[in-house]
Amino acid sequence: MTTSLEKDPAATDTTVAPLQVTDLTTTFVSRHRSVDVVRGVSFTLRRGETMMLLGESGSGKSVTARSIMQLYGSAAKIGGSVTMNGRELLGLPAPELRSLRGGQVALIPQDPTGALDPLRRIGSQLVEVLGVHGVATTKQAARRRAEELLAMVGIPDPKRVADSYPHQLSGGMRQRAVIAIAVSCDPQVLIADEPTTALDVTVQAQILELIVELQQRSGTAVLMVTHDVGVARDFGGRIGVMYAGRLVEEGPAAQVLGEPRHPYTSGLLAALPTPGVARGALRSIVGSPPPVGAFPAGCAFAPRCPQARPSCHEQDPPLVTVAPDRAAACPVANPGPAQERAA
Amino acid sequence: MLGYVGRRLLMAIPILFGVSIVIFITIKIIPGDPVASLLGPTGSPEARAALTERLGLNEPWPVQYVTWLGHTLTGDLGTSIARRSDVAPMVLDALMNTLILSAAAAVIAIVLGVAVGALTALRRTGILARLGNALALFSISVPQYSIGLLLIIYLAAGAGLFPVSGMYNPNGDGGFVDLFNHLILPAVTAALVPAGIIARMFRSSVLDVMSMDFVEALTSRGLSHRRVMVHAFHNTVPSLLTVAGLQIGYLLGGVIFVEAVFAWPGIGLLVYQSITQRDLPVIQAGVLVSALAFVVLNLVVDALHGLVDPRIRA
Amino acid sequence: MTATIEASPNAVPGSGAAPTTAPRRRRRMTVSARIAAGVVALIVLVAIVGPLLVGDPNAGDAARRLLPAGSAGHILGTDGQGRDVFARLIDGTRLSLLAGLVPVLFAAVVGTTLGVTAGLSGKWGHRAIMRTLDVFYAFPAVLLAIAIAAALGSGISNSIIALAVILVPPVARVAETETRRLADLDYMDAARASGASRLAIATRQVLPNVAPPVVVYCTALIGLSIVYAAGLSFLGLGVSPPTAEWGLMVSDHTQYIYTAPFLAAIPALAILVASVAFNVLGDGLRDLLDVRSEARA
Repeated sequence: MTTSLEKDPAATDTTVAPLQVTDLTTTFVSRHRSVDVVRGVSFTLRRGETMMLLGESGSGKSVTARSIMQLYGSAAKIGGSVTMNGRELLGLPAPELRSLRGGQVALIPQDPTGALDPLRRIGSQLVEVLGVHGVATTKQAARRRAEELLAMVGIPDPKRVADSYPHQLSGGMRQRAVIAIAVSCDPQVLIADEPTTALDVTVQAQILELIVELQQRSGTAVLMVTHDVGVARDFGGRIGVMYAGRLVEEGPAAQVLGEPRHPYTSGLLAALPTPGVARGALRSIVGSPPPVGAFPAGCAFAPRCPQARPSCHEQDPPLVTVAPDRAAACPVANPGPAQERAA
Repeated sequence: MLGYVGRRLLMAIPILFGVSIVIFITIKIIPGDPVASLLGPTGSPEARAALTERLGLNEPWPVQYVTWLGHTLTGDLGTSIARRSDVAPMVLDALMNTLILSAAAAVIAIVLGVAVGALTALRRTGILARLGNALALFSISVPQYSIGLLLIIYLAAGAGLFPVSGMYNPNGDGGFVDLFNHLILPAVTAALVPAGIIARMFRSSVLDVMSMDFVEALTSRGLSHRRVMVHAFHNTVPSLLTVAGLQIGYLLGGVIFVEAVFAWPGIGLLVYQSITQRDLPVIQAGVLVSALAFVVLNLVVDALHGLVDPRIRA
Repeated sequence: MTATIEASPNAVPGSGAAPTTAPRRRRRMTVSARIAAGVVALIVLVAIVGPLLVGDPNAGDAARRLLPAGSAGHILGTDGQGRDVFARLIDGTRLSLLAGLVPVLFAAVVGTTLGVTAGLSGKWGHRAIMRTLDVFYAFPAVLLAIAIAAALGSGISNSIIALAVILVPPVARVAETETRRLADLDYMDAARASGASRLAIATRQVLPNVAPPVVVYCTALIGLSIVYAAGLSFLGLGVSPPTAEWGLMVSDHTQYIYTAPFLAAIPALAILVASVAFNVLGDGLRDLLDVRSEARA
């Protein structure tokens, strides 16, 4: 299911990449305290490409995704830079941000039940988004487009579903409807936040296939957030492993999962059951991830790391290139002279 | 939708049946001998027997109940002991007045409750939120007659702003303005307690809805804050209706104090006056009619609920 | 009485996406709940010893009627019959509290029994009990109490009976909801499978778990019951004059509303304070025991 990288010069020129995130920081502020949840995340998403953010809960992967769309409002302070085709998104005035959201960047949230207004018919929720973004000018056109979109996401009976309320649909159908809304305005970047976690196992594969199909059809770049190594492996593309609000390893999925460089990635993979390997061989990482807001000094993984060096507890290693197209934030991963990775 | 309303109607029938039994029991638990109290101490044994026969009091209770139910269903609610007249027209007139007062109070309660609830939910900190919370807490704890008395002291007696009793000015034209002037104080009094309860419930319902995923999902689709809020408030309507339905019962019960204080000629005042005169047929008819109105109003609320929320009419 | 499940005020918005695994804080009563507990304790203390400390609440001096608050010998002044308002207020605490408390105690026992029985019964037993209770929900509660009290005749015991009757259904609902929730849990199946009798299950497994929400609910219900009880007295359905009782005092003082407007406010304020104290205490207990309870009709 690996997505094809188009050999188009624009795809390699990062200044016009659909999405470029540079040194993103997200800090939740309340009256009593502020908590750093994302701490300097950088990556580039090219046209038609898929980027996976893989990590445990609390690693900051979902927050990274939402920070790109600036969904937290005044509850979070977002630093660094997020550009789409070279245009800076952070600090955009509200009207421009609104036309961007759902227009150029769309979100597929985790739980389709929560993502739909329970009191509105599916069709009317689609039509509303089409209207807000000026995609369809007349009511009839919007309605027609809504049914087309529902058919496009593999809903067999688009007319009936358009007239249904969310509670009348199955979980899988609901997620298809949510995806239809997300792709309704032809976004350049589609952010999928664990789009299959709330669904039955049998439906999960269908939904992932649908996302790949839509991506291939329109060349949308997909940023997928997941905690599931299996999903990451199936989906391919690039992968970014997150731990305690930082990107600790990045590279092509097959390479990162095949030959991990960061001890955390290795630990994650070792904790997976593999066919043919005796159960006793399954190892889990010692300890548990630090709670958000209580990240240790130095490398956040050092307390759990079997290969930690004394310096790891003092200095947080930067994400550096360790091989062509691969980066890791660990001195162990890179025996040679550390070389700051160009963003 | 029609099926849903139909089911609700069917469900109301056993409830009404139960209501009639409870009312009948309150008639039967009256201590003392009704015949003796009607005839007085001078009644001869023959007169006693005749009256007992005429009232059907020597029949077994189930028979008496059926007879009583038959009378009630045909609109015969008995005769007032104190006024020596038919109870039915008296009670129905009073019910109209009570419904006017209750409707006005309901409007005030919902507007005030929703405003305070939304304010305290959306601005969790700050003096206004605290004030709103305190107001909600006090209004659910305060006895209604004392609110009424306070309003009389300050707004009516002190400032002379509003009339303190009755429904119309005896020398007035009986027009709408006159009614409105008389209505305002009792309606505010009756509304305060339900307003406090609605405010508290609405607050938690707004917080619930605002923490729901679809608010974020809608924002992520590029909807303006105003549009998102329209969705959010739409989603608070079902729970608002539930609370409002419960509060109708409180309103219909609570008006007795308000009517007593403001001499509003409704069911409450009628019942209050009948207590001092021990005019039980009027009290029972008043309670019966209030319960009936309550059941009907709840049916209306249920129907509205089904109209707003597709999930429950399934 | 109005159970709202409040969101934590300090929750990070969107905390579903940003799981904050902060260490669990120990649940403690809020400051306001502790103040309320103090006020409740004070009211109970006054109800017990108060009448012994003040003079005869019915001793009146017609020459010294309607004295303003702060008069020599009369902190809160005197009423229309020259009786000391403070003495009557203190003396009336006992009856006012009893009239509110006893119906709730009765409703707690009967309501819990009914609710647990309904929750553990089969389909038909459950229906029979709950549908019967639904009938009481069809009445505006206060009016039903008035009808019962009026039928029984005035007097404090009749007012207590009337209030107890209308308070049973909501308590039963709370107990039934909790019982049904418990009945769905696995360990109840385990108890049933191990051959425990229904009575044993009810008293050993269910009751200890149903008690906290019922206690929380009833605490708040006392506040309401005090207001209702005073209301019945106000309407002439409670204690008879010249007994000192808050609701009756409000009714008494109302006639002087133009000459001595604050007179009626004094007993009304006492009712308010008692009611608020029990309500806030109920809220505090709910947070402390972390239980949800149903809203009252």
